[in-house]
Formats: sequence, C-alpha cells, structure tokens
Amino acid sequence: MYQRPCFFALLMLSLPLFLPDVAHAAESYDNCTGFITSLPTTISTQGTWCLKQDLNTAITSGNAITVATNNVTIDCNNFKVGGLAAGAGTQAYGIFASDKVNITVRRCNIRGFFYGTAFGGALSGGHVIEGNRYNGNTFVAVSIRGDGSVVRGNVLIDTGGSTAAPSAEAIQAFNSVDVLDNSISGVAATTGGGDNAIGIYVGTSPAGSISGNRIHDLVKDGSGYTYGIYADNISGERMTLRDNDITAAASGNSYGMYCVNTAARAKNNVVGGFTTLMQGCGDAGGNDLVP
Amino acid sequence: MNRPNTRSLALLLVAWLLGSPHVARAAESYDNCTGFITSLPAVISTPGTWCLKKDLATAMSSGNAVEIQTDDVVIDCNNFKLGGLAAGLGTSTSGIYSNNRARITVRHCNIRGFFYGLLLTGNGSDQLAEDNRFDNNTYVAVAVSGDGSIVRRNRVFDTGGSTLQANVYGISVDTIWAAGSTDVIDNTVVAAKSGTDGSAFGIQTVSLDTASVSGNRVRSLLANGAGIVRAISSFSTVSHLSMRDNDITGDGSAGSIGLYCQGSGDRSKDNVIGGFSTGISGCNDDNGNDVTP
Repeated sequence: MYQRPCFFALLMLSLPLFLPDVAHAAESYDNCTGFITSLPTTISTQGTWCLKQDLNTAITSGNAITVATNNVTIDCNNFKVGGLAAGAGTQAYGIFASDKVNITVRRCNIRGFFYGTAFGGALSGGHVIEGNRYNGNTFVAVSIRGDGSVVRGNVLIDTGGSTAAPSAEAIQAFNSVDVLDNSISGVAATTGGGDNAIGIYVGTSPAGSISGNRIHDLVKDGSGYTYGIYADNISGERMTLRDNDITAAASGNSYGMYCVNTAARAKNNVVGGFTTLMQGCGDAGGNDLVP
Repeated sequence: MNRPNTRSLALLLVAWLLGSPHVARAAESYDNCTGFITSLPAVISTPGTWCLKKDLATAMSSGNAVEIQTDDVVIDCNNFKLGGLAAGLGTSTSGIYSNNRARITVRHCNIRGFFYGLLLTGNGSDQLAEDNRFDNNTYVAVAVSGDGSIVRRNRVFDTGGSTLQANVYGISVDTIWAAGSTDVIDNTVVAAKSGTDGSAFGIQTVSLDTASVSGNRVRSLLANGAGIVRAISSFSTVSHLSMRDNDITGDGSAGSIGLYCQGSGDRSKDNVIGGFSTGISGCNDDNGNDVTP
C-alpha cells in the first residue's frame, strides 16, 4: 500500500538523470571565445571571454582585467573577480578599458577594487554593463564614458571606504550614458575624510536617461554632502531623471536629486529623507518629494 | 500514516525539479539551436532556431546576408556580429531579410554596415526584434512590418551615410521603421545622420492602427541642408498610437520636431522632450509631457 508513493518519489528523484543536458543560458560556455583563468590579465582579441571559476588578486595598482581591443564581452557567469585582499588602500581597477568601443560586462561579481569597472577616454562609447553585482568596491563601483553606453540591471552594494580617496560613488557616467534599473544600496564616504557619498553622478552629458534606479543608504562623512543623483550639467545638457526611487535617513547637507542646470529634467521620481529633496533640476512633474 | 509524508516528499521533488537550474533559456547556449549559420550569404528555409557561433562578415553590395524563406524562424546571434561594413556606403544589402513571413524572431545580434540592418517586410505578422545592437547601418537599421510585432530593447547607433539612397530617394534616415501594429518599446536610438538635404528620423511608424511607442530614448539626430529632424513620427491619418515615457533630446536645429503625428488619433503622455523647434506636433496631449526648448 505504501509502495506506490515511494516508487513515485524515486521516479521523480531519478528524473534529472534522464533530462537532456540543457544549460541555463547565462552559465553556458558555448559562445566563449576563451577563458580568463588568472589575474591580472589583458584581453587583446575580440570576442566573449568567460570565467569558469572565482578569481582573486591582491594587486594594489593596475588592472585585474585590461580590455585592450574593441568588441569584447566579459561574461563572468556569476563568478567573482575579487580584489579585497589588496585592502582599503588599493588603487587597482577590476575591469578597465581606455578609448575602446562596444565593451560588454555581464554577470560579474566584482569586489574590493578602487574602481570596480572603468571605461574611459575620448573615444569610448557603446558599452553595456548589465546584470552585475558590485560589492565592497572602495571608491567608485562603475565609471563609464561614451554615448550609446548603458548601465542597467546591476546591483551595487557597500561602495566606499577607500583610504586613497575620501569620497564614494556607486555609478559615475559621462557623455550621454543611460543608467537604467540599477539597485544601489550603501554608499559611504571614508570615515574621517569629510567627503561626499553619491549614488549616481552624471557629468558632461548632452543627453541620457537616468531611469528606474533604486538608491538608498547613502552616508556622507563630516562636512561632506550626500547626493542621491547628482547631475553636473550646464545649459543645454538635457539628461532625463525619471522613475527613480531615492531614499535616505535624514542628515545635514543631503540632496535627493541635485542638478546644476534646469535643462536636466526630473519626472515621476519618489524622493524621501533628504534635507533638500530636489535642487536645481527642471521639474517635469509627477515627482513625489517627502522630507 | 506514511502516505502523507511520502506525498510531501514527492511534491517537494516536483518543486525542486521546477526550480532546478537545469532549465534552458538558451540565449548564449547552443542547446536549442536547430543549426548554425556559418557563412554569408545564407538562406534559412527550415523553421527553428538558427544560431551564430562566430562573427560573420560579407562584402556583398546587394542581396541579403541572411534571407529567411519560411515562417517560425529564430535567428539567435549569441551576440556575435553580422557585418557588412566591407561593402562600403554604396551597399544595398540587407543584413537579415524576410518577405511575407510570420513569427520571425531576431535576437542578440550585432548587425553592422548594411543598407537595411534588419528588414522584415511584406504581409508578415508577429515578428520580434529584441536585444540587438545595430550600428553603422547606412539607411535603415530596423524595419519591421506586421500586426502583433514587437521591436524592443535594441540599441541603435550611428545610422546613415548611404550614397545609394541619396541618388534614389533624396536621402532619409529611418532608424526604426515599423508598419502594421508594431510596438516599439525600450529602445535606444542614438546618432542618425543624414546625407545631403536628407532628413533624420529616430523612430518612424507608418500606417499603424494601434500600437505603443513607449520608453524609448532618442537623441543625437542630425539632418542636413533642407532636411529636418523628427525624433518620433507617426505617419497615418487613422492610427491610435500611444506614445509615452519616451526621453527625446534634440539639438535645437531649425524645423526639428520631437513627436510628430500626422493624424489626430495618436496620444502622447509623460514624454520628456527637449531641444527641438517644435516639441509636439499634431499628437494629442494626454498630459504629463514635459517640453522644453
């Protein structure tokens, strides 16, 4: 009488053995051009470069991964690129490229670097940084420059604490980058440094959308300032800030959204817990501002 | 007495199976590929998922790099490149092409340097173009026709420069051209640059009945001479489009229009529009639009 359910249970237990060996897309290695197996490393061949294990380094300067050519994807398959061993004084970068185009970083767990990812240079553009987890980077988690680039769907946790730079920023973007749907939790200026904590900083951008981000737990130090989103724009630089949720525990010198010029438009944002909720941004309506 | 416990175990196992990581999503995996496209030009005449597993390029200056000749086809480039830059600015080649086909999907492609990057034309339906990157296509990056179609999450860069189009059509640049009832959602369109006296269009819809053009980001469009800039345009006198939540930025050039509607049935809501001679022209204002000079 009790054999039938037991048989069913055994059948279910054995079923995975007969399932086709299908792979989850993210963790598949099918389209990998090659693998990154140690740090530091330099990528000089176009294609998709994958991780298949956690990687760590204790370098205190330079770059864990240097991308030295265009059209490269770094797919970490959710493995770690770790730099924590270098300590709070590190000036090492996790993933770095200068004057390159079309670089993608996805599914990476990037920890403990001065800059988690930094793509810069006047020729930089067209990058994608998506679906990554940044944790414990000491100064800036993501820095990106270049029109047509997008930073989306990342989780950025506990940025700050560098002994080499007193401020902290989760994301900084230059030259018309879209920053979409990121979760930022915990940005803290270095204790004793008296400097700023910024969720998203946007500078020198003729356009670009900062949209759908969630920003909270920002902690300045001393006489520094807290900014949920800081649009460092001049007249004619028309970035759009919309649908962001920005919250903080009330503290002095804090701004939910700060814009230098009203050409930056703010719409449908929910902002609470800052001493100044919105400063300088053009009010495009629909913003919910609660002290 | 033991039966409930065993049943619970069985249910637990079912739940575990459903939550197992061994579930195919098959974007970057090759597990569900019917076959591979390994050289260009290629013709797909069998339904299924056809994949790339390396970058492909061609210098052909006419015809189609990939031609789909049957319904129910997925082209999954696995983020590899389909390149036509070598043909130069005089190319009339389409990157991926179908005519009168239904249920065509194109995803994860990096399509460069074609006259049309993607051209799904004719009396098809239910097309899907998603998560692709288009750059340096010389005339139209994405052209999709067919009721029930969707163009979403694509990144479209640096469209324009065709010499062929200048001679024949007087040069216009349409980066997303949707006909039928096609939703155009969450795309980024950056830098479309027309040739001599040519106009630059970010997203253009033609003869739609009902559709959404929503959540797109359009900027850096450049017209030339007598040409004009229109970031998002609806060309239909009978359509009922919803245009909402788009971020549209212009350079203030003479005659430029952020949102243009030919007919009076199109609605606009919660768009942020700046830097155009005319922010909204012809579209009904459903409130919430932010228009600055």
